[in-house]
Order: sequence, then C-alpha cells, then structure tokens
Amino acid sequence: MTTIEVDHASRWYGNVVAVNDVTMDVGPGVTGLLGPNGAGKSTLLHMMSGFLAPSIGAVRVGGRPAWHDHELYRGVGLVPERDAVYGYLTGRQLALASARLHGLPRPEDAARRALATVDLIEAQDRRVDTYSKGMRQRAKVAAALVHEPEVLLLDEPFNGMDPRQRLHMMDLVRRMGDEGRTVLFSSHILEEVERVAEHIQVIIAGRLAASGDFREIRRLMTDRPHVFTIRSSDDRRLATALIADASTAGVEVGTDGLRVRAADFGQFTWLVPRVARDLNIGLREVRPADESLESVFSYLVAQ
Amino acid sequence: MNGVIAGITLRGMFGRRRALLLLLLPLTLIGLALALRLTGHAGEEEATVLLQRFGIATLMPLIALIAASGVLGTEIDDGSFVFLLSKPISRPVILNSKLAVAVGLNVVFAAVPVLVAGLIMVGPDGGVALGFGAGALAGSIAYGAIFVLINVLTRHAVVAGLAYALIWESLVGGFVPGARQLSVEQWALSVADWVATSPAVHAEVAVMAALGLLAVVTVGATVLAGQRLRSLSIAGEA
Amino acid sequence: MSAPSELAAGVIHDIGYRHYEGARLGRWHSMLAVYAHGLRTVYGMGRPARSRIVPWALFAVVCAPALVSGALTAVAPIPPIPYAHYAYVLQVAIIVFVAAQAPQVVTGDIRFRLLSLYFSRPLERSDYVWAKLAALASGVFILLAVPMAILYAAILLSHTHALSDAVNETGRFAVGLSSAAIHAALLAALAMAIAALTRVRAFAVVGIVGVYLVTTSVAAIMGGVLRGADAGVLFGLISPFSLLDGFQTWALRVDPTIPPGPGHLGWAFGLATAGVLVAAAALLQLRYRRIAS
Repeated sequence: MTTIEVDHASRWYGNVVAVNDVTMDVGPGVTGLLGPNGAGKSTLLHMMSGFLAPSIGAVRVGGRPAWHDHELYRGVGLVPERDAVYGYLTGRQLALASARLHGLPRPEDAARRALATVDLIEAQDRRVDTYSKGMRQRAKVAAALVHEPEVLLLDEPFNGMDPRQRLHMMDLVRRMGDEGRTVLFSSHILEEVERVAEHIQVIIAGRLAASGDFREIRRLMTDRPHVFTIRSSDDRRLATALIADASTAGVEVGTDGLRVRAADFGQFTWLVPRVARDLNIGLREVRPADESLESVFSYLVAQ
Repeated sequence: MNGVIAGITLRGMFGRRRALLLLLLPLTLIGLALALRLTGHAGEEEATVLLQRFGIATLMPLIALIAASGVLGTEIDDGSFVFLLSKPISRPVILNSKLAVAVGLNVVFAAVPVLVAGLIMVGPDGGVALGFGAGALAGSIAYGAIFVLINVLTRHAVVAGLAYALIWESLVGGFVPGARQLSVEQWALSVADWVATSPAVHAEVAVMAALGLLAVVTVGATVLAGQRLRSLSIAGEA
Repeated sequence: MSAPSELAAGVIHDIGYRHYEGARLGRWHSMLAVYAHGLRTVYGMGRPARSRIVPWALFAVVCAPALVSGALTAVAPIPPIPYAHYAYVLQVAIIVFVAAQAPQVVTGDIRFRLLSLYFSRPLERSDYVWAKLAALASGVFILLAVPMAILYAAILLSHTHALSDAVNETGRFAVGLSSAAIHAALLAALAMAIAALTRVRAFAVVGIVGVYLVTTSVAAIMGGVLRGADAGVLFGLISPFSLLDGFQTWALRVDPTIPPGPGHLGWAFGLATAGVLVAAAALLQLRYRRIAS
C-alpha cells in the first residue's frame, strides 16, 4: 500500500511555471490525472517518477523523496509517453531484460507472467519494431510490470491507440488498480478518465483545479449555470416564457438567437421543449455553449 | 558494470547501417597497408605516416564518435533510454556498462586494425606496429570516455564531437604548438613513441605527461558522465 | 450555418473560401523561392538565433586570416595569401561549414516529410535539386569570396600605385573568384549528395566530415609515400581540396598551393573534377526521383 505524496510542489523553467503549488495524495486504486495539453501533467508525472526535481516542495513515493533515488524503481513501474523502445529486441527479450535488470530471482518466470498479463504471449518472439503501436505499448507495460510494482505510472497511455487497443489497455489498467496497486495515468480526454479512474486529479495551467471522487466532481459541475444558445421562430416570446421559470438564471437576446443561462440543468431541459410546444414556437437549434472541457474547467479554476 | 545493459547495448549496435561504417573504415586502413606493402613502399617511415595520419588522426576519432553515438546518443535522442533509467541501478553503473561497450568497439575497430596494418607493413620490426597499436589502444579508451561524456551532456553530441576532433585536434593542434600538449592524439602518439624503438616515431609530448593526462581525462570524463547522468530528464537533457 | 434538414444528402458548406483563378507565377519563381530560402538557411537567416551561431562563427574563422593577412600586407612587406590558395589553406574550417550547413538545407525536408508538399506544386523534382544545389553553392561561394574581397581591398589600398597595378590585381582577383566558384560548386555538390542520403542530420554531418577526413588523409599519406611518382600525384584526385587545387593549377594557370602540382597530369584533374560534379548531380537527381515523400 504505497502512497504518492505531492507536498506543495512547484516546478518552473525560467519564467514559465509548469507546476504551481500542487498538493495531492495518490493512494491505491486507479487515479486519473486529467488536464488539457500543456497543463503540467507530464511534468508532475516526471517528478513522481524521479526524473525531475521540484523547484520547491517535495514529491515522495512511499515516504521517500523520488528524486535521485534509483532504488525507487524497485517499487515503481513507469510507462513513458514516447513511443521509442529498443526495437531490435523481441517482446520476450524486453520483458526478460527488464526482469534481470530488476534483479529478480527467477526472471524467466516473471517475464512470462508479465507477458501473459498484457496478452503478448503469441507475439513474444517477434521483434518489437514489428509490433503495432498498441502492442508496443503493451510490451512497455509488461516491462514495467515484471517486478510486480506497488506503483504504476503511465503517461498518456491511450495516445494514438485505436478503439480496440484502447479498450484492452483500459481493462488492463483497471485490473491493476483492482489488485490494490497505486495506478496513476494521465490523459486529456474526459471520457477515458471517466471510464477507468476511480479518483481524479484535475490539473489546469499547472494548478490543481479539482480532486477526489469522479462523481463528486461531476456533481460540482452541474451546480454551475449551463449556457445554451437557442434559435427559434420567435426568440423574444420564448425568452419571456423561459425567464418566468426559476430554472433560468438569465436570458440574453441577440441578433442570432438567445443565450440562456440555466441554473437547474434538469429542470431547464424539461422546460424548453414544453414551453416551445405550448407557445407554438418552432425550435431551430438548442446548443450547449459551454460543453468544452476548457470552459467547464474554467469554471473550476475561477473558484 | 552491468552485463545485461552491456548485452542489450552490444546487440543494438549491429544489424544497422552503422555496423557497416564501423567495418568499412578499418578495412580501408588495412587495404591501404596491403597496397603499400605490395607496391614495395612499406618501410618504417611509411608505416609511421600511415598509422599516425590515418590510424590515429582519422580512424580513431571517427570510430569513437560512431561508437559513442550508437551506444548512448541515439537512445537518449529518441527516448528509449528511459527503459534503462527506470531500473533500480545506479546511474554511474549504467554509464560504465555503456562505456565499456563503447571502448570495446573502439579497441576492436580502431586499435586492433592499427596493429594489424602496422604488422602488415613492417612486421614486428622497430616496434612500430606494437607502438601504434598501444597508442591507439590508449587513445581509444580516452576518446571513448570523452565522446560518451559529450553524448550525456548535449543532444548535439555528434556535431560537438566532430567540432572537437576536427577543430581542436586538427586545426588548433596543427597551428598552435601549445595546444598539442592537450591533444588526445598527441598523447596516443607519445605512447607509440615510448613503445616503439624506431626513430621514425617521434612525439612532442613527454610520455609520462601523456600517460598521466590520459588517465586523468579518462577517469574524469567517466566520473563526470556518471554524475551528470543522474540528472538526465526524460526529454534528454542533463 | 448548416441546414439541419439535409442530413441525408451531402452538403458543402460555404465558409467563404474563394477559388483563385488569376495569374500564377510559374516554375521559375518556385525555383527562385526555393533557392532564396536555401541560401538564407545556409546562413541561418529566418530562424531562431541559435541556428546562426555555427555558420557565422565559421564565417568569421574563415575571414579572419584574410583580415590579418590584409593588415599585415598593408603595413609590412609580407606577401598576402594568394587568392587561389585561400580555400586550400582554410580547408578544415570550410569543410566544417559545409558539413554543418548542407544538412540544414537538405536533410530537414527529408526528415519531416516535406517533399510531398514541394512536389505537389509546379516544381519538378529536378528543379528542386538544382535550386537547392545553387543555394548551397552560392553560400559557399560567399564564404570564399568575402575573404578574397578583403584581401583585394587591402592590396588595392596599399600596394597599387598605378592604374596598371590595379588592373593586374583585379585580374588576379577575378581568377580568385573563379577559383572560389569552382570550389563552391564541387563542395556543394559533394556535400549535398552525401547529406541527401540520410534522414538524420547528425549522420549527414558525420558522413561529410568522414568522407573528407578519410579521403584527405589517404591522399596525403599516399602522396607523401609515393612522392615524385605519377601515382602519388594521382592520389590527390580522391581528396576534394587537392583535386580542386590541381584543377585550378591546370585550368586557371595559378601556382599550386603545394608544389609541384599536377604537372603533365593536369588533364586528369580536369576530367576528375568534371566527373565528380556530374556524378554528384546525377546521384542527387536519382535520389530525389526515388524518394517517396
């Protein structure tokens, strides 16, 4: 049961702050590190995996600082983002080398177990540079799993994978988490994180914007006003009817339609078609204007 | 020194175009030696010129450059090096393993061919072949450490190494007498002079100074490289 | 915006894109653009300052002896470096310049798969090759011509007392420029042919320098061992700078940088120079014809 502790860690490069005073604890189970590109996810992961030192603050794994500690890797497995791997080795040789480098007492058994876990036994005697991208990723995961690490760090593991490979990898990650390991993976796609992670840490522009159970965050987001653009056959009459109801927080009448802020999402979505039908107004377009990840998170950041 | 790392590294060197280069250059040297021998131009003078100008001044740095970039540079550049870095092995040990392979390659593809070429030309007479072989051996070890260090320090290691080998060793060393005291090629020549009894071999740097400097540079570069490797980031900058 | 009721049929959205039907500049302008861009790349222009360091530093290194020699000749009776010998004397710096910049001009397009962008324009593959070659050659020509111009200016200012002196000196300068031109052409062709073989810039650099190092040492060694014999002279053919030196001794009637020069074998140097130029150009054309993207 190993915890990753990030304690008021910041990392800057000259004038650019990549990670800004982040404090979080990552415990057993699957945690998703979510954030837009350039938010600092990779920097944070590199600090956790001992490849980067925080400018101030501390990053500890299992109570010990991650930086300048090669013994850290006895309990940590890392699957880096970059695709390159020793292509001239076969899958088996890669896992075996990893096992030997970890000093495991029975490297062949460990390698075989790891390859079975990622389902690469059939392809294990082919060179890694003949693998598809998904298989290469799985080979890297196998190499990271040979020593049965307590902590598994994956940097953008689903990048560039086709849907089938992605499902397979998601399944694998969930299984690792179910076994009680501390699994942390980074992603910028909400759906991926949603499907795999139990806990989420949201990073925006280097700052920790939200953390905790995924459902809690979701609820948080629905408490914020949702903004819709509506175009109809009679905007002004519709606007009048909508503002009369408590679920509407505000209406703006523009030349190309209405901008409506809804306070109660559920009530509002019930309201709009009913009002339109009652007043005989034709709805041409009902579009949520702020469904992007960015605007959702900007609400979070604005807190 | 970790055998697994050395094994992986060695396996990665072959089966690529790079291996051809490693082979082509020493074969050129041996071919030249044969040509000179067969056309009757194989005296101690000629042997010295060949082994010094081609063996030590050209073959040795080029092989060391190719070896160091193959052993370490490419992996750092494309990111596959992280595989080794994320293991519970201290960075200096990783570096020493890679360095051992680089030096081994240098010895096999530079020092040994120099010895063979020398033997082809003048046999064991005058210690010329043995001398240059020893000099090339010493230079191979030192160059191995230096070029591996350069590969750890910068991602533009190839150009940096070339600039050093060409501009420092050839240009400056050719025109600025004082600079010769600090040239690896000159130190190798001193070792050759010391071992060889033939008057054709003549060095500018005293052999004790040369040996001392070779040792200092080799050990210093190795230690520095090991330490800098501890701070190598995933992006490849130390 | 889109019409929502036509989801079944395909719809082309008018987002204001206008088709251009007017006059277009032709192939020649494309070539010129590639040439200009290539020449600017040789000296690191139009890029971050970092890419200017190497070419400009080497440019300074190559010009420095001209400045020194020019200054010395102005104040003391020390003869300046002859124009036609300049390239040979500074060959190491020149080859490093060429080795560093030729890959900048050529290898980037191959590595980042930009060739398909170039060739989907009215630019033939051969046009691209000639334009890039001309750019690199122009860059090297400038590298050699500027020091010669410095020497020319120094001599004009200090040693010419009559118009006939000036005319003679100008004649010598013109011969020097011809030497610079032929050096530029051959070095550019060779370097580009090597650089176009690989996608990794570092290998291109090593390739060019490696070829130079190996051929030059072999030529020097064999030339020294076989001194006086024809075979020794002929070994000068394999190294670019001794080849060019022999060529200009024969073609431009200048003194050889390292006596005694090719002598009666000058024609071989002429043939070899032409041969290398043709072979390198042909290799380049072939290489670019076969590159897929």
